[in-house]
Amino acid sequence: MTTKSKLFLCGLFGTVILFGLPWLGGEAISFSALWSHSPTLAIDHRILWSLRIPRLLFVVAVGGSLAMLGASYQILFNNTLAEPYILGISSAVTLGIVVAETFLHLPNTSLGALSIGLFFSFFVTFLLILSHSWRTGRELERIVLFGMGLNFVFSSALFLLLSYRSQTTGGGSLRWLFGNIPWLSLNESVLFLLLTLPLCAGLWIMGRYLDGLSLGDTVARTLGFSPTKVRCFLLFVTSLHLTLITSLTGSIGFLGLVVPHCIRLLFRPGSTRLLFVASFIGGALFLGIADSLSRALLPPLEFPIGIITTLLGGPIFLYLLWKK
Amino acid sequence: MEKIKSTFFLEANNILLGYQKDNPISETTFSFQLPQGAVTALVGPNGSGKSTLLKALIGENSLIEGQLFCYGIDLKNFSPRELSNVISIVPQEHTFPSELKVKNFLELAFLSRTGIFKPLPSISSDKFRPFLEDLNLLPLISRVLHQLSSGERQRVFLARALLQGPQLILLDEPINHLDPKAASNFWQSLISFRAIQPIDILMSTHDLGFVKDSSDWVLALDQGRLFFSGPTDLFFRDKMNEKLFS
Repeated sequence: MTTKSKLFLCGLFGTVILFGLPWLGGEAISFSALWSHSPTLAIDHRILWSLRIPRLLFVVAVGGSLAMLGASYQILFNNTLAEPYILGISSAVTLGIVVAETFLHLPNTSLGALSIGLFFSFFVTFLLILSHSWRTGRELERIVLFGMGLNFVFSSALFLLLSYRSQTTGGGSLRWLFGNIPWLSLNESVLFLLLTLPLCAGLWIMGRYLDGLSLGDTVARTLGFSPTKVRCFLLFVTSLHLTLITSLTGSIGFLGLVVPHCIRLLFRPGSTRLLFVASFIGGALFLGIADSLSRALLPPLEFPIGIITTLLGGPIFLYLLWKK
Repeated sequence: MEKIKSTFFLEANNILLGYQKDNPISETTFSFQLPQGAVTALVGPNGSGKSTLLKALIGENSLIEGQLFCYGIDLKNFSPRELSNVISIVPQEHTFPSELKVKNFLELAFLSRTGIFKPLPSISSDKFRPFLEDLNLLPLISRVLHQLSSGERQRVFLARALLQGPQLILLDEPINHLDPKAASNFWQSLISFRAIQPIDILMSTHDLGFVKDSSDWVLALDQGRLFFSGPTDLFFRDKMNEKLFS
Protein backbone atom coordinates (compact mmCIF):
# COMPACT_ATOMS: atom_id res chain seq x y z
CA MET A 1 0.00 0.00 0.00
CA THR A 2 1.31 3.45 -0.81
CA THR A 3 1.85 6.10 1.83
CA LYS A 4 -1.05 8.10 0.45
CA SER A 5 -3.60 5.28 0.57
CA LYS A 6 -2.44 4.24 4.05
CA LEU A 7 -2.82 7.82 5.19
CA PHE A 8 -6.22 8.08 3.56
CA LEU A 9 -7.53 4.97 5.32
CA CYS A 10 -6.17 6.02 8.71
CA GLY A 11 -7.49 9.53 8.19
CA LEU A 12 -10.95 8.17 7.40
CA PHE A 13 -10.85 5.91 10.45
CA GLY A 14 -9.67 8.80 12.62
CA THR A 15 -12.43 11.08 11.38
CA VAL A 16 -15.06 8.45 12.14
CA ILE A 17 -13.76 8.10 15.70
CA LEU A 18 -13.65 11.87 16.02
CA PHE A 19 -17.31 12.20 15.13
CA GLY A 20 -18.17 9.46 17.58
CA LEU A 21 -16.64 11.38 20.46
CA PRO A 22 -19.71 13.54 21.28
CA TRP A 23 -21.54 10.36 22.24
CA LEU A 24 -18.95 9.53 24.89
CA GLY A 25 -19.27 11.17 28.30
CA GLY A 26 -21.07 11.15 31.62
CA GLU A 27 -24.53 10.96 30.06
CA ALA A 28 -25.41 8.23 27.56
CA ILE A 29 -27.03 9.91 24.59
CA SER A 30 -29.15 8.41 21.87
CA PHE A 31 -27.82 8.77 18.36
CA SER A 32 -31.09 10.11 17.01
CA ALA A 33 -30.80 13.07 19.39
CA LEU A 34 -28.68 14.61 16.65
CA TRP A 35 -31.76 15.58 14.66
CA SER A 36 -34.79 14.56 16.76
CA HIS A 37 -36.86 17.22 18.51
CA SER A 38 -39.13 14.75 20.31
CA PRO A 39 -39.73 15.71 23.99
CA THR A 40 -38.11 12.49 25.29
CA LEU A 41 -34.86 13.41 23.58
CA ALA A 42 -35.01 17.15 24.24
CA ILE A 43 -32.34 17.04 26.95
CA ASP A 44 -30.09 14.78 24.89
CA HIS A 45 -30.54 17.12 21.96
CA ARG A 46 -29.49 20.09 24.05
CA ILE A 47 -26.50 18.34 25.59
CA LEU A 48 -25.33 17.35 22.14
CA TRP A 49 -25.84 20.67 20.39
CA SER A 50 -24.96 23.15 23.09
CA LEU A 51 -22.20 21.26 24.89
CA ARG A 52 -20.60 18.32 23.14
CA ILE A 53 -20.64 19.29 19.46
CA PRO A 54 -19.34 22.82 20.08
CA ARG A 55 -16.64 21.31 22.22
CA LEU A 56 -15.73 18.81 19.52
CA LEU A 57 -15.46 21.57 16.90
CA PHE A 58 -13.25 23.58 19.21
CA VAL A 59 -11.07 20.60 20.05
CA VAL A 60 -10.67 19.76 16.34
CA ALA A 61 -9.58 23.33 15.59
CA VAL A 62 -7.16 23.48 18.52
CA GLY A 63 -5.70 19.98 18.25
CA GLY A 64 -5.32 20.13 14.49
CA SER A 65 -3.77 23.58 14.59
CA LEU A 66 -1.30 22.77 17.36
CA ALA A 67 -0.06 19.65 15.55
CA MET A 68 0.34 21.59 12.31
CA LEU A 69 2.13 24.42 14.07
CA GLY A 70 4.46 21.94 15.75
CA ALA A 71 5.24 20.32 12.40
CA SER A 72 5.92 23.68 10.76
CA TYR A 73 8.21 24.86 13.60
CA GLN A 74 10.19 21.64 13.39
CA ILE A 75 10.87 22.30 9.71
CA LEU A 76 11.15 26.07 9.98
CA PHE A 77 13.87 25.88 12.61
CA ASN A 78 15.34 22.60 11.39
CA ASN A 79 15.01 21.31 14.93
CA THR A 80 13.32 18.02 15.82
CA LEU A 81 12.60 19.23 19.35
CA ALA A 82 10.78 22.37 18.27
CA GLU A 83 7.19 22.74 19.43
CA PRO A 84 4.66 25.60 19.27
CA TYR A 85 5.52 27.00 22.69
CA ILE A 86 9.26 27.20 22.15
CA LEU A 87 9.46 30.83 21.06
CA GLY A 88 7.74 32.52 23.97
CA ILE A 89 4.73 33.67 21.97
CA SER A 90 2.29 31.65 24.02
CA SER A 91 3.76 32.71 27.36
CA ALA A 92 3.58 36.33 26.19
CA VAL A 93 -0.11 35.96 25.31
CA THR A 94 -0.82 34.26 28.61
CA LEU A 95 1.08 36.89 30.54
CA GLY A 96 -0.84 39.64 28.74
CA ILE A 97 -4.18 38.08 29.65
CA VAL A 98 -3.20 37.36 33.24
CA VAL A 99 -1.95 40.95 33.61
CA ALA A 100 -5.31 42.18 32.30
CA GLU A 101 -7.12 39.84 34.67
CA THR A 102 -5.09 40.72 37.76
CA PHE A 103 -4.53 44.44 37.45
CA LEU A 104 -7.36 45.65 35.23
CA HIS A 105 -9.90 43.13 36.57
CA LEU A 106 -11.02 42.19 33.07
CA PRO A 107 -12.52 38.71 32.58
CA ASN A 108 -10.01 36.53 30.73
CA THR A 109 -12.33 36.00 27.77
CA SER A 110 -13.16 39.69 27.38
CA LEU A 111 -12.10 41.56 24.29
CA GLY A 112 -9.93 43.86 26.40
CA ALA A 113 -7.94 41.03 27.93
CA LEU A 114 -7.57 39.33 24.56
CA SER A 115 -6.28 42.51 22.93
CA ILE A 116 -3.66 42.93 25.63
CA GLY A 117 -2.63 39.32 25.05
CA LEU A 118 -2.49 40.00 21.32
CA PHE A 119 -0.37 43.09 21.91
CA PHE A 120 2.13 41.11 24.02
CA SER A 121 2.28 38.41 21.36
CA PHE A 122 2.90 40.90 18.54
CA PHE A 123 5.67 42.46 20.56
CA VAL A 124 7.42 39.07 20.84
CA THR A 125 6.80 38.21 17.17
CA PHE A 126 8.23 41.56 16.16
CA LEU A 127 11.37 40.96 18.23
CA LEU A 128 11.75 37.47 16.75
CA ILE A 129 11.40 38.64 13.17
CA LEU A 130 13.82 41.45 13.87
CA SER A 131 16.35 39.03 15.36
CA HIS A 132 16.08 36.92 12.23
CA SER A 133 16.17 39.52 9.50
CA TRP A 134 18.71 41.79 11.18
CA ARG A 135 21.50 39.95 9.40
CA THR A 136 21.30 37.21 6.81
CA GLY A 137 19.63 34.04 8.03
CA ARG A 138 22.88 32.21 8.45
CA GLU A 139 22.33 31.30 12.07
CA LEU A 140 19.03 29.57 12.50
CA GLU A 141 19.84 28.57 16.06
CA ARG A 142 19.96 32.20 17.06
CA ILE A 143 16.29 32.80 16.49
CA VAL A 144 15.37 29.66 18.47
CA LEU A 145 17.69 30.59 21.32
CA PHE A 146 16.37 34.14 21.25
CA GLY A 147 12.80 32.83 21.41
CA MET A 148 13.70 30.47 24.24
CA GLY A 149 15.23 33.40 26.12
CA LEU A 150 12.04 35.39 25.66
CA ASN A 151 10.06 32.36 26.76
CA PHE A 152 12.03 32.14 30.02
CA VAL A 153 11.55 35.83 30.74
CA PHE A 154 7.82 35.77 30.04
CA SER A 155 7.07 32.53 31.84
CA SER A 156 9.03 33.66 34.92
CA ALA A 157 7.00 36.86 34.95
CA LEU A 158 3.87 34.72 34.55
CA PHE A 159 4.83 32.41 37.44
CA LEU A 160 5.59 35.41 39.61
CA LEU A 161 2.23 36.96 38.84
CA LEU A 162 0.34 33.69 39.31
CA SER A 163 1.93 32.96 42.67
CA TYR A 164 1.23 36.53 43.79
CA ARG A 165 -2.35 36.11 42.67
CA SER A 166 -2.87 32.73 44.26
CA GLN A 167 -1.98 34.33 47.60
CA THR A 168 -4.36 37.22 47.16
CA THR A 169 -7.29 35.73 45.27
CA GLY A 170 -6.44 32.02 45.13
CA GLY A 171 -6.81 29.46 42.34
CA GLY A 172 -7.25 29.78 38.61
CA SER A 173 -3.60 29.23 37.78
CA LEU A 174 -3.72 25.65 36.55
CA ARG A 175 -5.74 26.72 33.55
CA TRP A 176 -2.85 28.79 32.25
CA LEU A 177 -0.02 26.49 33.20
CA PHE A 178 -1.43 23.22 31.95
CA GLY A 179 -4.00 24.26 29.43
CA ASN A 180 -7.75 24.10 29.51
CA ILE A 181 -10.58 23.63 27.04
CA PRO A 182 -13.23 26.27 27.68
CA TRP A 183 -16.94 25.57 27.17
CA LEU A 184 -17.96 27.59 24.13
CA SER A 185 -21.38 27.99 22.57
CA LEU A 186 -22.05 26.53 19.13
CA ASN A 187 -21.77 29.94 17.51
CA GLU A 188 -18.50 30.71 19.27
CA SER A 189 -16.88 27.43 18.31
CA VAL A 190 -18.05 27.72 14.70
CA LEU A 191 -16.55 31.22 14.63
CA PHE A 192 -13.32 29.89 16.09
CA LEU A 193 -13.21 27.14 13.49
CA LEU A 194 -13.84 29.67 10.73
CA LEU A 195 -10.92 31.75 12.03
CA THR A 196 -8.46 28.88 12.36
CA LEU A 197 -9.26 26.88 9.23
CA PRO A 198 -8.10 29.59 6.77
CA LEU A 199 -4.87 29.88 8.78
CA CYS A 200 -4.42 26.11 8.51
CA ALA A 201 -5.16 26.25 4.79
CA GLY A 202 -2.62 29.05 4.35
CA LEU A 203 -0.02 27.05 6.22
CA TRP A 204 -0.83 24.05 4.03
CA ILE A 205 -0.22 26.10 0.88
CA MET A 206 3.07 27.40 2.29
CA GLY A 207 3.99 23.77 3.01
CA ARG A 208 5.78 23.55 -0.30
CA TYR A 209 8.11 26.38 0.69
CA LEU A 210 8.80 24.47 3.88
CA ASP A 211 9.80 21.51 1.71
CA GLY A 212 12.27 23.85 0.03
CA LEU A 213 13.55 25.20 3.34
CA SER A 214 14.10 21.69 4.65
CA LEU A 215 16.84 21.26 2.03
CA GLY A 216 18.91 23.96 3.72
CA ASP A 217 19.22 27.63 2.83
CA THR A 218 21.89 27.10 0.18
CA VAL A 219 19.62 24.99 -1.99
CA ALA A 220 16.47 26.89 -0.99
CA ARG A 221 17.97 30.11 -2.35
CA THR A 222 18.02 28.58 -5.82
CA LEU A 223 14.43 27.32 -5.63
CA GLY A 224 12.77 30.59 -6.55
CA PHE A 225 12.05 32.24 -3.20
CA SER A 226 13.90 34.11 -0.48
CA PRO A 227 14.32 31.82 2.56
CA THR A 228 14.56 34.77 4.95
CA LYS A 229 11.38 36.40 3.65
CA VAL A 230 9.43 33.15 3.69
CA ARG A 231 10.63 32.41 7.21
CA CYS A 232 9.62 35.86 8.44
CA PHE A 233 6.21 35.55 6.80
CA LEU A 234 5.63 32.11 8.29
CA LEU A 235 6.80 33.34 11.67
CA PHE A 236 4.20 36.08 11.52
CA VAL A 237 1.33 33.85 10.40
CA THR A 238 2.07 31.03 12.82
CA SER A 239 2.39 33.52 15.68
CA LEU A 240 -1.03 34.90 14.90
CA HIS A 241 -2.44 31.39 14.73
CA LEU A 242 -0.81 30.38 18.00
CA THR A 243 -1.99 33.56 19.72
CA LEU A 244 -5.55 32.83 18.71
CA ILE A 245 -5.34 29.38 20.27
CA THR A 246 -3.34 30.16 23.39
CA SER A 247 -5.53 33.09 24.32
CA LEU A 248 -8.38 30.63 24.89
CA THR A 249 -6.65 27.45 26.00
CA GLY A 250 -3.35 28.33 27.69
CA SER A 251 -0.50 25.93 26.95
CA ILE A 252 -1.53 22.40 26.02
CA GLY A 253 1.77 20.60 26.25
CA PHE A 254 3.34 17.85 24.17
CA LEU A 255 0.73 17.67 21.43
CA GLY A 256 2.59 19.87 18.95
CA LEU A 257 5.81 18.00 19.56
CA VAL A 258 4.58 14.45 19.59
CA VAL A 259 1.87 14.28 16.92
CA PRO A 260 4.01 15.28 13.90
CA HIS A 261 6.75 12.89 15.04
CA CYS A 262 4.29 10.02 15.37
CA ILE A 263 2.97 10.80 11.88
CA ARG A 264 6.51 10.82 10.49
CA LEU A 265 7.44 7.56 12.18
CA LEU A 266 4.23 5.82 11.18
CA PHE A 267 3.69 7.05 7.62
CA ARG A 268 6.82 8.79 6.35
CA PRO A 269 4.81 11.38 4.41
CA GLY A 270 6.70 12.49 1.31
CA SER A 271 5.83 16.17 1.55
CA THR A 272 5.13 18.77 4.18
CA ARG A 273 1.60 19.16 2.87
CA LEU A 274 0.85 15.52 3.47
CA LEU A 275 2.47 15.81 6.90
CA PHE A 276 0.21 18.81 7.62
CA VAL A 277 -3.00 17.03 6.66
CA ALA A 278 -2.09 13.93 8.65
CA SER A 279 -0.97 16.05 11.62
CA PHE A 280 -4.21 18.00 11.60
CA ILE A 281 -6.31 14.84 11.79
CA GLY A 282 -3.92 13.22 14.26
CA GLY A 283 -3.83 16.29 16.48
CA ALA A 284 -7.61 16.66 16.44
CA LEU A 285 -8.05 12.99 17.32
CA PHE A 286 -5.39 13.10 20.02
CA LEU A 287 -6.86 16.17 21.70
CA GLY A 288 -10.40 14.82 21.30
CA ILE A 289 -9.51 11.60 23.10
CA ALA A 290 -7.47 13.43 25.75
CA ASP A 291 -10.38 15.79 26.35
CA SER A 292 -12.86 12.93 26.75
CA LEU A 293 -10.47 11.25 29.16
CA SER A 294 -9.92 14.39 31.18
CA ARG A 295 -13.64 14.54 31.89
CA ALA A 296 -14.38 10.81 32.06
CA LEU A 297 -11.63 9.70 34.45
CA LEU A 298 -13.13 11.02 37.69
CA PRO A 299 -16.38 12.83 36.90
CA PRO A 300 -17.41 15.47 37.68
CA LEU A 301 -13.75 16.40 38.17
CA GLU A 302 -12.12 17.79 35.02
CA PHE A 303 -8.34 17.48 34.81
CA PRO A 304 -6.33 20.18 33.04
CA ILE A 305 -6.08 18.95 29.47
CA GLY A 306 -2.32 19.53 29.22
CA ILE A 307 -1.63 16.99 31.96
CA ILE A 308 -3.60 14.35 30.07
CA THR A 309 -1.96 15.10 26.72
CA THR A 310 1.47 14.81 28.29
CA LEU A 311 0.62 11.60 30.17
CA LEU A 312 -0.85 10.15 26.99
CA GLY A 313 1.67 11.47 24.49
CA GLY A 314 4.88 10.81 26.40
CA PRO A 315 4.61 7.02 26.52
CA ILE A 316 3.39 6.79 22.89
CA PHE A 317 6.34 8.83 21.77
CA LEU A 318 8.83 6.78 23.81
CA TYR A 319 7.33 3.56 22.44
CA LEU A 320 7.62 4.72 18.83
CA LEU A 321 11.22 5.79 19.37
CA TRP A 322 12.00 2.48 21.02
CA LYS A 323 10.48 0.48 18.16
CA LYS A 324 12.34 2.25 15.36
CA MET B 1 27.79 44.32 -27.62
CA GLU B 2 25.23 41.52 -27.49
CA LYS B 3 27.83 39.09 -28.68
CA ILE B 4 30.34 39.99 -25.99
CA LYS B 5 27.61 39.65 -23.39
CA SER B 6 26.84 36.11 -24.38
CA THR B 7 30.38 34.73 -24.49
CA PHE B 8 30.84 34.75 -20.71
CA PHE B 9 28.64 32.99 -18.22
CA LEU B 10 30.17 35.00 -15.42
CA GLU B 11 31.91 38.36 -15.30
CA ALA B 12 33.13 39.94 -12.10
CA ASN B 13 33.64 43.68 -12.14
CA ASN B 14 35.82 45.08 -9.31
CA ILE B 15 34.32 42.81 -6.69
CA LEU B 16 35.12 42.66 -2.99
CA LEU B 17 33.99 39.58 -1.05
CA GLY B 18 33.08 39.21 2.62
CA TYR B 19 30.16 38.81 5.01
CA GLN B 20 30.44 42.08 6.89
CA LYS B 21 30.72 45.40 5.12
CA ASP B 22 33.52 46.62 7.37
CA ASN B 23 35.42 43.34 7.23
CA PRO B 24 36.08 42.14 3.65
CA ILE B 25 38.29 39.11 3.03
CA SER B 26 40.80 41.20 1.09
CA GLU B 27 41.65 44.89 0.73
CA THR B 28 41.70 45.10 -3.06
CA THR B 29 38.95 44.49 -5.59
CA PHE B 30 39.33 42.16 -8.57
CA SER B 31 37.73 41.28 -11.89
CA PHE B 32 37.56 38.20 -14.09
CA GLN B 33 35.61 36.70 -16.98
CA LEU B 34 34.64 33.04 -17.35
CA PRO B 35 33.91 31.81 -20.89
CA GLN B 36 30.75 29.89 -21.69
CA GLY B 37 31.00 26.26 -22.67
CA ALA B 38 34.00 25.49 -20.51
CA VAL B 39 34.09 23.51 -17.26
CA THR B 40 35.52 25.99 -14.79
CA ALA B 41 37.34 24.86 -11.67
CA LEU B 42 37.39 27.22 -8.71
CA VAL B 43 40.53 26.55 -6.67
CA GLY B 44 42.40 28.11 -3.80
CA PRO B 45 43.57 27.40 -0.25
CA ASN B 46 41.08 27.39 2.63
CA GLY B 47 39.80 30.88 3.33
CA SER B 48 40.62 32.10 -0.17
CA GLY B 49 37.00 33.08 -0.83
CA LYS B 50 35.79 30.13 -2.92
CA SER B 51 32.64 29.47 -0.90
CA THR B 52 32.09 33.19 -0.44
CA LEU B 53 32.05 33.65 -4.21
CA LEU B 54 29.63 30.76 -4.68
CA LYS B 55 27.37 32.23 -1.99
CA ALA B 56 27.47 35.62 -3.70
CA LEU B 57 26.25 33.91 -6.86
CA ILE B 58 23.15 32.49 -5.18
CA GLY B 59 22.24 35.80 -3.61
CA GLU B 60 23.64 35.61 -0.10
CA ASN B 61 24.91 38.97 1.06
CA SER B 62 28.56 38.18 0.55
CA LEU B 63 29.31 40.69 -2.21
CA ILE B 64 30.46 43.93 -0.59
CA GLU B 65 31.45 45.90 -3.67
CA GLY B 66 31.37 45.60 -7.45
CA GLN B 67 29.10 43.68 -9.77
CA LEU B 68 28.67 40.10 -10.86
CA PHE B 69 27.21 39.63 -14.32
CA CYS B 70 25.66 36.29 -15.08
CA TYR B 71 25.14 35.83 -18.84
CA GLY B 72 25.52 39.59 -19.17
CA ILE B 73 22.89 40.51 -16.56
CA ASP B 74 23.74 42.02 -13.18
CA LEU B 75 22.91 39.39 -10.54
CA LYS B 76 21.39 42.12 -8.36
CA ASN B 77 18.60 42.44 -10.92
CA PHE B 78 17.62 38.77 -10.70
CA SER B 79 14.46 37.99 -8.78
CA PRO B 80 14.63 34.74 -6.77
CA ARG B 81 12.48 33.14 -9.48
CA GLU B 82 14.78 34.29 -12.29
CA LEU B 83 17.84 33.21 -10.37
CA SER B 84 16.39 29.73 -9.93
CA ASN B 85 15.90 29.40 -13.68
CA VAL B 86 19.54 30.30 -14.39
CA ILE B 87 21.55 28.82 -11.50
CA SER B 88 21.26 25.62 -9.50
CA ILE B 89 23.62 24.22 -6.91
CA VAL B 90 24.92 20.94 -5.55
CA PRO B 91 25.90 21.93 -2.02
CA GLN B 92 28.85 20.53 -0.13
CA GLU B 93 26.71 19.46 2.79
CA HIS B 94 23.60 17.40 2.18
CA THR B 95 20.67 18.76 4.15
CA PHE B 96 17.32 16.95 3.93
CA PRO B 97 14.53 15.63 6.19
CA SER B 98 15.60 12.21 7.42
CA GLU B 99 12.62 10.27 6.02
CA LEU B 100 12.48 11.95 2.61
CA LYS B 101 12.32 9.66 -0.41
CA VAL B 102 14.51 10.23 -3.49
CA LYS B 103 11.37 10.65 -5.60
CA ASN B 104 9.97 13.47 -3.45
CA PHE B 105 13.38 15.08 -3.18
CA LEU B 106 13.82 15.19 -6.95
CA GLU B 107 10.36 16.65 -7.49
CA LEU B 108 11.33 19.68 -5.41
CA ALA B 109 13.53 20.68 -8.35
CA PHE B 110 10.30 21.84 -10.04
CA LEU B 111 9.27 24.09 -7.15
CA SER B 112 10.45 27.34 -8.71
CA ARG B 113 8.86 26.75 -12.10
CA THR B 114 5.62 25.29 -10.73
CA GLY B 115 5.12 27.65 -7.81
CA ILE B 116 3.03 26.75 -4.78
CA PHE B 117 -0.44 26.71 -6.28
CA LYS B 118 -0.09 23.98 -8.91
CA PRO B 119 0.80 20.33 -8.24
CA LEU B 120 4.43 19.36 -8.81
CA PRO B 121 5.08 17.19 -11.89
CA SER B 122 5.62 13.53 -11.00
CA ILE B 123 9.15 12.25 -11.52
CA SER B 124 7.72 8.79 -12.26
CA SER B 125 6.18 9.98 -15.52
CA ASP B 126 7.65 8.68 -18.77
CA LYS B 127 8.98 12.10 -19.61
CA PHE B 128 11.77 11.78 -17.02
CA ARG B 129 12.52 8.10 -17.56
CA PRO B 130 15.41 8.60 -20.03
CA PHE B 131 16.95 11.19 -17.74
CA LEU B 132 16.80 8.86 -14.74
CA GLU B 133 18.18 5.99 -16.81
CA ASP B 134 21.10 8.10 -18.01
CA LEU B 135 22.01 8.98 -14.44
CA ASN B 136 21.40 5.40 -13.33
CA LEU B 137 18.88 6.56 -10.74
CA LEU B 138 15.89 4.33 -11.54
CA PRO B 139 16.76 1.76 -8.84
CA LEU B 140 17.06 4.50 -6.22
CA ILE B 141 13.84 6.34 -6.91
CA SER B 142 11.68 4.92 -4.11
CA ARG B 143 14.45 4.65 -1.52
CA VAL B 144 14.88 6.93 1.46
CA LEU B 145 17.65 9.52 1.07
CA HIS B 146 19.47 8.81 4.29
CA GLN B 147 19.85 5.12 3.42
CA LEU B 148 21.88 5.88 0.28
CA SER B 149 25.67 5.80 0.12
CA SER B 150 27.42 9.17 -0.19
CA GLY B 151 28.14 8.45 -3.84
CA GLU B 152 24.52 7.63 -4.63
CA ARG B 153 23.30 10.60 -2.69
CA GLN B 154 25.66 12.95 -4.48
CA ARG B 155 24.27 11.73 -7.82
CA VAL B 156 20.74 12.31 -6.54
CA PHE B 157 21.69 15.85 -5.53
CA LEU B 158 23.20 16.37 -8.98
CA ALA B 159 20.02 15.07 -10.61
CA ARG B 160 17.91 17.51 -8.59
CA ALA B 161 20.11 20.40 -9.66
CA LEU B 162 19.91 19.33 -13.32
CA LEU B 163 16.13 18.80 -13.25
CA GLN B 164 15.81 22.42 -12.19
CA GLY B 165 16.82 23.21 -15.79
CA PRO B 166 19.55 25.79 -15.15
CA GLN B 167 22.07 27.32 -17.56
CA LEU B 168 24.78 27.23 -14.92
CA ILE B 169 25.34 24.58 -12.29
CA LEU B 170 27.46 25.26 -9.21
CA LEU B 171 29.23 22.32 -7.59
CA ASP B 172 30.66 22.92 -4.13
CA GLU B 173 33.46 20.38 -3.54
CA PRO B 174 31.55 17.75 -5.56
CA ILE B 175 33.89 14.79 -5.02
CA ASN B 176 35.17 15.63 -1.57
CA HIS B 177 33.69 12.65 0.28
CA LEU B 178 33.60 10.21 -2.62
CA ASP B 179 35.87 7.25 -3.34
CA PRO B 180 37.50 7.22 -6.83
CA LYS B 181 34.80 5.00 -8.33
CA ALA B 182 31.91 7.06 -6.99
CA ALA B 183 33.69 10.24 -8.06
CA SER B 184 34.10 8.91 -11.58
CA ASN B 185 30.42 7.80 -11.69
CA PHE B 186 29.37 11.25 -10.57
CA TRP B 187 31.45 12.98 -13.20
CA GLN B 188 30.38 10.61 -15.97
CA SER B 189 26.71 11.32 -15.16
CA LEU B 190 27.32 15.02 -15.52
CA ILE B 191 29.34 14.68 -18.73
CA SER B 192 26.73 12.44 -20.37
CA PHE B 193 24.00 14.93 -19.48
CA ARG B 194 26.11 17.77 -20.83
CA ALA B 195 26.56 15.97 -24.13
CA ILE B 196 22.81 16.25 -24.71
CA GLN B 197 22.15 19.59 -23.12
CA PRO B 198 24.84 22.27 -22.92
CA ILE B 199 25.30 23.61 -19.43
CA ASP B 200 28.03 25.69 -17.80
CA ILE B 201 29.79 24.30 -14.77
CA LEU B 202 31.55 26.14 -11.97
CA MET B 203 32.96 23.81 -9.35
CA SER B 204 35.05 24.51 -6.30
CA THR B 205 37.53 21.77 -5.44
CA HIS B 206 40.75 20.99 -3.61
CA ASP B 207 41.61 18.07 -5.83
CA LEU B 208 44.13 19.35 -8.39
CA GLY B 209 44.31 15.99 -10.18
CA PHE B 210 40.57 16.27 -10.75
CA VAL B 211 41.02 19.85 -11.99
CA LYS B 212 43.64 18.70 -14.47
CA ASP B 213 41.50 15.84 -15.80
CA SER B 214 38.10 17.45 -15.94
CA SER B 215 38.25 21.23 -16.30
CA ASP B 216 39.00 23.54 -19.22
CA TRP B 217 39.37 26.74 -17.27
CA VAL B 218 40.78 27.55 -13.84
CA LEU B 219 39.74 30.40 -11.58
CA ALA B 220 42.20 30.52 -8.68
CA LEU B 221 41.62 32.72 -5.66
CA ASP B 222 44.02 33.49 -2.85
CA GLN B 223 43.17 35.49 0.30
CA GLY B 224 40.01 36.89 -1.26
CA ARG B 225 41.81 38.10 -4.41
CA LEU B 226 42.23 36.85 -7.93
CA PHE B 227 45.31 34.69 -8.34
CA PHE B 228 44.77 33.24 -11.80
CA SER B 229 42.06 32.99 -14.41
CA GLY B 230 42.85 31.14 -17.62
CA PRO B 231 42.91 27.82 -19.46
CA THR B 232 43.72 24.76 -17.34
CA ASP B 233 46.77 23.85 -19.50
CA LEU B 234 48.29 27.24 -18.79
CA PHE B 235 47.64 26.91 -15.07
CA PHE B 236 49.62 23.69 -14.85
CA ARG B 237 52.24 24.62 -17.47
CA ASP B 238 53.19 27.74 -15.57
CA LYS B 239 53.25 25.80 -12.30
CA MET B 240 50.59 28.11 -10.89
CA ASN B 241 49.33 25.22 -8.78
CA GLU B 242 52.63 25.08 -6.86
CA LYS B 243 52.74 28.84 -6.38
CA LEU B 244 49.13 28.94 -5.20
CA PHE B 245 49.61 26.45 -2.40
CA SER B 246 53.18 27.41 -1.38
